[in-house]
Amino acid sequence: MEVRVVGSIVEVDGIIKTINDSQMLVNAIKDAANSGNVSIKINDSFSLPSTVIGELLKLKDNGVSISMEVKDEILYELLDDLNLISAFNVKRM
Amino acid sequence: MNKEDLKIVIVDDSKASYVMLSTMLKSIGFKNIKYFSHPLDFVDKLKKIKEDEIDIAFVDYEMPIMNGLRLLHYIKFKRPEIMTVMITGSSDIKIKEKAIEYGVNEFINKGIDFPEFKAKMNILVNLREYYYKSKKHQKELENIVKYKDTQETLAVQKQLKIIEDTTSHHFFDSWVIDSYFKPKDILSGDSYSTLRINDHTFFISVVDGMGKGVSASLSSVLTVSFMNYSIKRSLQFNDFNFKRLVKDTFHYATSIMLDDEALSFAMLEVDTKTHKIKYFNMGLPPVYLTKNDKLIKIKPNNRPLIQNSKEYIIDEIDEEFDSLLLSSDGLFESVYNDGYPYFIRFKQQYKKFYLLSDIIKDFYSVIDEADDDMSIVYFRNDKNKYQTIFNQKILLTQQNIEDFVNHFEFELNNLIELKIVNKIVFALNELLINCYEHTVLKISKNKHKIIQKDEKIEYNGENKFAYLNIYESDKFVILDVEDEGDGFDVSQILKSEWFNKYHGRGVKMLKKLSDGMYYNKKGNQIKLYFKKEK
Repeated sequence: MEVRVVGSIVEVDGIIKTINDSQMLVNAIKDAANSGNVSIKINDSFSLPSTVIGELLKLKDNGVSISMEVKDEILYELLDDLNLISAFNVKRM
Repeated sequence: MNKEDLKIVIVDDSKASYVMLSTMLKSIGFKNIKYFSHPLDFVDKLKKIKEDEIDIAFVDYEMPIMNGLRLLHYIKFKRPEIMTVMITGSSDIKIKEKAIEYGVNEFINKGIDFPEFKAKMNILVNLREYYYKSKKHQKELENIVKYKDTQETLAVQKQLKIIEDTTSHHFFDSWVIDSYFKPKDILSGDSYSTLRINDHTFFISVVDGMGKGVSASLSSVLTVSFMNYSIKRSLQFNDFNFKRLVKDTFHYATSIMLDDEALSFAMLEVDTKTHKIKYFNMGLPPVYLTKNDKLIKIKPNNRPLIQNSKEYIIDEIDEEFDSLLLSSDGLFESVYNDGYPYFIRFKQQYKKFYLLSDIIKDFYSVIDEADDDMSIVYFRNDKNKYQTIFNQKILLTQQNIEDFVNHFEFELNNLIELKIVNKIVFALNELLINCYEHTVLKISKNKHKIIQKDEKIEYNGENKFAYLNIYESDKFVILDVEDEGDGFDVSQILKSEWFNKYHGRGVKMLKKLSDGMYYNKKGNQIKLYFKKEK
């Protein structure tokens, strides 16, 4: 997995699966969210570890505006099933 | 609203013009009048004020630095609720057209006579009164909607709490049990229940309040609530009796029916060891069994329940089966392909269905949205022959899990197809983290607080293990993980997204990524089924 941060945009390539992947992604999102908003682009992954979802929900509760673009249809459906589409402002790429 | 309460501003570089205007306003009854001799002072003021701090702004057209048109434009951009009146000595139609484009409400000419001014002000006051009334009404509507949303969310939470689904997503011996619940509206007319009576005997029920709305939902929820409470009490005293339960539930349900109301419900006692089923079905769709690719239909043995229902029958069915399907009509009566109900397709396709996820996927491949609430309970005797292709005992430390998952992916790539490898690796990581949190860090019900407060839980050096097995048959790959913890209540975890803000979604993700997710009774062992594509 590879994470790139440019300003408030976090872009993720590859599949997010291990503890290190989750930790790296959470740290990148927290850094990018300093300005009060963060936009996450997930290019390949078909899933999002529950720890990352938990941290995103916490950031949202702390007033951070979150938007997300996902390419994989399974991930989009998963976020839909978890009622997170509007919370994370998720759009298909 | 009284005239004296309206907040008026005059922006005019001519003091004489202001004095004339304010005198007329005061003589009509306006008291709250503020004056700005320079447009930029008013621009500064606009940046600081809140909504409805100004009701009407009189703006002179000819002013230095910023003319009245530009000021009007800025007012409508910054505080569109302010009503504006342009004071002009010009009859230039283009200026007036531009002012209208910027949302001006009225024009007055310099030197306007008092009766005409008074008439124009009456119109503005009436408009302002209407504005405040609409706003109040809007606020009241918002509060009603907010209250309704909160009540509906609470109602769903209550319904989910009442539904006892303690056996679905479980495996025992060679059996797996599944359920699927998809309400069409917030207040569902469907409820269901699955409870384990003993090691191999189960009680299952689906209740469908016919019609829509609160009344149908209440009948359905109350009936299931009554059943669940009765069963739990009888199990406490080791005194479960299916016939007595049916009798009590029948009488209870008739006692809560309205005149024109009806309730369809089925109650089954299923013994997976002897294959005996005690069967009571009041108007729900038939129960379907399969045995060696043969479909066996068990028709409802009673009509739907109404207030005057007096009699009912219970059948005892002695029929070996490989699968059992109990469903509300949302599954079978939803329509596909220009008018065919889904049960037509189900009867054609049933041989292809093995797990409940196969039926659900097939249903949604031909139907976008069910016509009604869907409640399904499904049993499958998994007779596939599996061979173990991987097993490992894993020491639960964070570093060890990280190392193992990376190494495991490499090993698995040679054994099974890539698409399943990716899912298994993701699932295994989620599962091992859960094992680590539950068995080593002892995090369970307190997880929400820990995330909320960003607390760090230190590893206490305790050695705990997880046991991993991967099995394969010609149809499935199974990921089997067991830990040394105390397990957990699977049914509560599956409901937890309604109750926990920051966690509890991992299990639902595993359910979504796999084709079947089943725990043991204790909740410390999971089997995830992945269907092979070839």
